Amino acid sequence: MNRLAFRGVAVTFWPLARSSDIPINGPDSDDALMARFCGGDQEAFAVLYDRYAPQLEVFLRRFVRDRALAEDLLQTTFLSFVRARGRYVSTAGLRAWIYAIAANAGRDALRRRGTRAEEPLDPDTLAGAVGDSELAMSDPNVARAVGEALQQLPPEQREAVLLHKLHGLSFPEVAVAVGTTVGAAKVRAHRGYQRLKVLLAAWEDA
Amino acid sequence: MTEHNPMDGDAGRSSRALLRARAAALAELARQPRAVPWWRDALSALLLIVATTAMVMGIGAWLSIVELDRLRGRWLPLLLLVAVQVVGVFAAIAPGKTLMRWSAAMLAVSAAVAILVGRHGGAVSPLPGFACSTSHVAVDLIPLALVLFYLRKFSATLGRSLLAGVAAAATGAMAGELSCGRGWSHVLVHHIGAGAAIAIACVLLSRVLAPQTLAP
Repeated sequence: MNRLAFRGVAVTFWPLARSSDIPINGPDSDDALMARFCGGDQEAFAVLYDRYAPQLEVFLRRFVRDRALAEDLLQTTFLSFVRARGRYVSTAGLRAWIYAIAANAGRDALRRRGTRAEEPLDPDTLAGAVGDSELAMSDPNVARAVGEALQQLPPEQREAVLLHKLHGLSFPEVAVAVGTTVGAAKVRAHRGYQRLKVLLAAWEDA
Repeated sequence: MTEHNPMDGDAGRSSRALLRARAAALAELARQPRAVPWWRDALSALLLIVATTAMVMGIGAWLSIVELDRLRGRWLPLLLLVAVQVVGVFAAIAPGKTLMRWSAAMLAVSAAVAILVGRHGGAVSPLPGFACSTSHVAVDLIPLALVLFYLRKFSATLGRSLLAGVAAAATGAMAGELSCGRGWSHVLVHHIGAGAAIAIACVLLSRVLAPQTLAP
């Protein structure tokens, strides 16, 4: 759980998945499953798919802001995952690697589309990504406002905030996923939080 | 406090998307049941590019364009260019290997300096300067096509594309070292300039060509 305070509004981000949810050792660890998958084991692929596909779909939906495109990109992500599995090296971890594929797919799609955001926002869906420990139950507008504010961030900041706060990636994992250094990933996320504070302060004043 | 589940409300559509992606991935897995390790791609790329360079040198020597007796005086830049090609191709394709990529970049700078040093004065040639740059680019076309083929197998960053382009351009640079004896200003414009153009073309083409996978 991560908490950010925006004036009187305390927003709690509940990561969709935590690294502690994934076994580090044993037959169900990412690396053990990946080794079996590289040998052609479909069951190992199925476990990895069930572990990561739902989170990746949510990430892609929020990153590209276009549901149909996100669904296509999920397919692209897993086709790349299968085709390029021989490129996986375990130093950064599978979670960072598979998020890197999804983030590459998202950035590539946005670049080819030639825009940063075209789709109208879907506040109900966006609001689902965030919760507020004090106010969300009584005032769901807070969660919705945070969701909308997230969508107003520049893609590189939104990407860092989404991966770190909502998807529970550590900064070293975020750095691998976005293809930068740990320091640069922290700066992007920090700038994203600063921008969120400004946006939410304006919302609160209104 | 209840934990929000973003899948709520549209679970049906999400499930269909997940099933579709899973089916496509399983079909791909059935087509290619065993993974191809990255080092096999790196090694095959390296062998093909080195073989192309050897073929270019062989044809050049046969046509008396490449003068092998220049080897004695130009061994250092040639050695550096071979290192640029070998380390550059491998570092551009291998996952991770940040240090190796920086090493390859340093080798490329050293090779460029070594090419320019010792070119004071230089020989006079009846051929126009662009004959060298044109033949440099022409010789680099096959290595360029080869590195682009391998770059498409993953999501190549700008640094990797640039490095692969420099490694491809090393073929023309080696041929230039053994065929042209002109001064440093000619080498800077028509040889190193042509190599830089190939490296930039590699970056641009790798961005235009759709990658086969988006793996880092």
